[in-house]
Amino acid sequence: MAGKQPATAIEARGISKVFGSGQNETRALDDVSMQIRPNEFFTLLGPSGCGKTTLLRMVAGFEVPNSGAVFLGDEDITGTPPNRRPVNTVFQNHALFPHLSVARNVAFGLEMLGKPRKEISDTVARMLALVRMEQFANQATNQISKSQKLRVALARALAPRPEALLLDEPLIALDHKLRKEMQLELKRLQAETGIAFVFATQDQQEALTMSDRIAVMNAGHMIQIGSPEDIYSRPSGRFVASFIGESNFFEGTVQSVKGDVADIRMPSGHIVTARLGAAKPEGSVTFAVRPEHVRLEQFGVAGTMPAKVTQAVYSGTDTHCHLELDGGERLVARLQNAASGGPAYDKGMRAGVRFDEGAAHVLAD
Amino acid sequence: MATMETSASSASNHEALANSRRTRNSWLLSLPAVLLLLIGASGPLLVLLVCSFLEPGDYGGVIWKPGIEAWFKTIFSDGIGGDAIQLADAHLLIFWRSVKVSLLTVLVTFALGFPTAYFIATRPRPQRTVWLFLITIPFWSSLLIRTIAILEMIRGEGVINTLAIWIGFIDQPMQMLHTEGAVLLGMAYVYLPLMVLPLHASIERFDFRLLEAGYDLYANRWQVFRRIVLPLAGPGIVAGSILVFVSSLGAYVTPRVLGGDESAMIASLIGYQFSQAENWPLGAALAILLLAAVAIVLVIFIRTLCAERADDR
Ligand SMILES: Nc1ncnc2c1ncn2[C@@H]1O[C@H](COP(=O)(O)OP(=O)(O)O)[C@@H](O)[C@H]1O
Ligand SMILES: [Mg+2]
Repeated sequence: MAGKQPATAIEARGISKVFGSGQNETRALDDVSMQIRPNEFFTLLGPSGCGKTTLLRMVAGFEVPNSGAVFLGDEDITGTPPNRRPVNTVFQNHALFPHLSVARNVAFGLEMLGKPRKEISDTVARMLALVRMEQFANQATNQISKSQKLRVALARALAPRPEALLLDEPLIALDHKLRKEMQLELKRLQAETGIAFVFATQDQQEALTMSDRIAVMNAGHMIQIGSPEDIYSRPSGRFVASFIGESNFFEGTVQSVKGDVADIRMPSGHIVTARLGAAKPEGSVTFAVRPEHVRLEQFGVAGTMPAKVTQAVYSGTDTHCHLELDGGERLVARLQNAASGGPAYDKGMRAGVRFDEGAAHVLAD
Repeated sequence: MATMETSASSASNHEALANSRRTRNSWLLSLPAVLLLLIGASGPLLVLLVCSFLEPGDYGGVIWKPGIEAWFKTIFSDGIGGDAIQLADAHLLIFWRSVKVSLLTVLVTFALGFPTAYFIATRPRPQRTVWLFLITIPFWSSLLIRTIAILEMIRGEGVINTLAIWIGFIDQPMQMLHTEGAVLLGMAYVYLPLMVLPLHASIERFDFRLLEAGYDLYANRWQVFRRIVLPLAGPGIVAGSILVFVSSLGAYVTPRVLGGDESAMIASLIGYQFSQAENWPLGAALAILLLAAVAIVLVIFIRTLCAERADDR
């Protein structure tokens, strides 16, 4: 390991992309930047139409940005055509060549690179073993299942050992169980190959469980980039806090600031201590509390906010309690169900609400 | 109970009966077409076959005397003295020219037709219809008229020569008419739609994302064309090539008008045997030979194509 690895495998710098013109103009990407490290599982997370595919196609070379640049290591590859970028894609529909067998599909990239025959057949065998498709080498691609197609697409894209592998919502067509299975499989492949994966998904759960880092996108903007833990517990704004997991939002005014926490007065008069993060500690702010960080106690216990249960929804592992504070604010608490006995709270009951320490988080917008 | 059972079984009986009646009815429905095909295709073929094994009459027609002289004469000719047996050079030359010109027609129509079909198939749908419509326009006028239009272009005092002399490129008119090139030009023009339409049908069904996958995996334009587009267009290429080849090999009007006697093709030769030469058995034998040649070429073509596909796997 003598060679110095560059700090970033792929970098997008200030990328903007506009489709169409005049009336039909769509700003698919607006000043988007990201840095992907070598050997990381990087996820683009955002709702449909937020620009994930466009960004991936930009990195692959199928779209040219209106402004901004794409770098591979230190090299500007903005104008390089796709066939000269050491970056491979797993397409959403897999795009396997229907006239070629499984093995010939996997060999395609190596053949185009002009690798020697022996090396090609060895690599193909290794790749098929890696994705556990050895016994299907000579099958036609229309004779295998959806998840097997995905495995072949993965082997085909990994075979030339690209600097980065781009995956555009590859799991979207799979049912729940296969999806879980392939999530683990993708993690394993990433770890075993050591290639940077750039994975696009709309599924926040998938993003949280699989990624080293997540980039949350919305409407062509890069909203926040960080580790799953960062994104979940320190969302930068309302969009991230509500798109990833669920959140209760409260308005309030800052009373006093101590270091990186502030006391915030809610309209109902209660004072809540909240983490500040990157937010400006003055005036009226919004803060968020996750439902699983809301505790319910007996009505009237000191230090709790009096509330009424408006609805209790049982969902197996836990119960979602919809509450209304006496000041009028509404919120949801997620309570884990006990091993025995019915739900502890029911519609119409009175209770005292308390937030876990550090649960309240002031949002930047 | 008992009554229900009988009614149930009679119901299934009914169904079986209806089924068999339906099958029989559908056969009845296709009967006119089948009869027409039998009479129209097999009938004349049988007549030809019988005819080829008889002796020619003095002024056309046949004499009911069996013989294989006609078949012999397709390939061999008696020497002038009557004892030396030689190959029938004229026939072989015409056979060879027919096959050559037909294959060249396939190549030329493919070279012109593929980009055209690709262009049309990649237009937005409403535009596609218009382009396809334009491609079929030549079909609206008679083959003879279209061929004569080309004749007008290339004959001695035709448009091209007149223009070239007027500009000063040449002083003497070029001999274009009655050459193999003229036949090729005419056939390529006449049969181009037969290539474009099947090609378009198969290119239109393309998943163009496969081309992106090709570029993504380091293929350049040529490699994408050779390794992805061509194999996927395979069925269209086969269909178009067969249509053009078979039509060209049997073409009569175009080679007759543009090739004359100097560049005659096999259909002209057959026509000649039935008319001026008044040798029906020889004409019949030649016609059957043509049919066999077409059949053999088709089989070889399809075989190699299937083999190539299996190879690709
Ligand atoms: N080729 C295109 N022409 C016009 N608009 C496009 C094109 N590709 C994408 N868009 C638009 O750009 C926006 C982002 O699309 P996309 O990148 O596909 O989002 P995502 O993959 O996150 O669902 C959408 O509004 C989409 O309609
Ligand atoms: Mg997409």
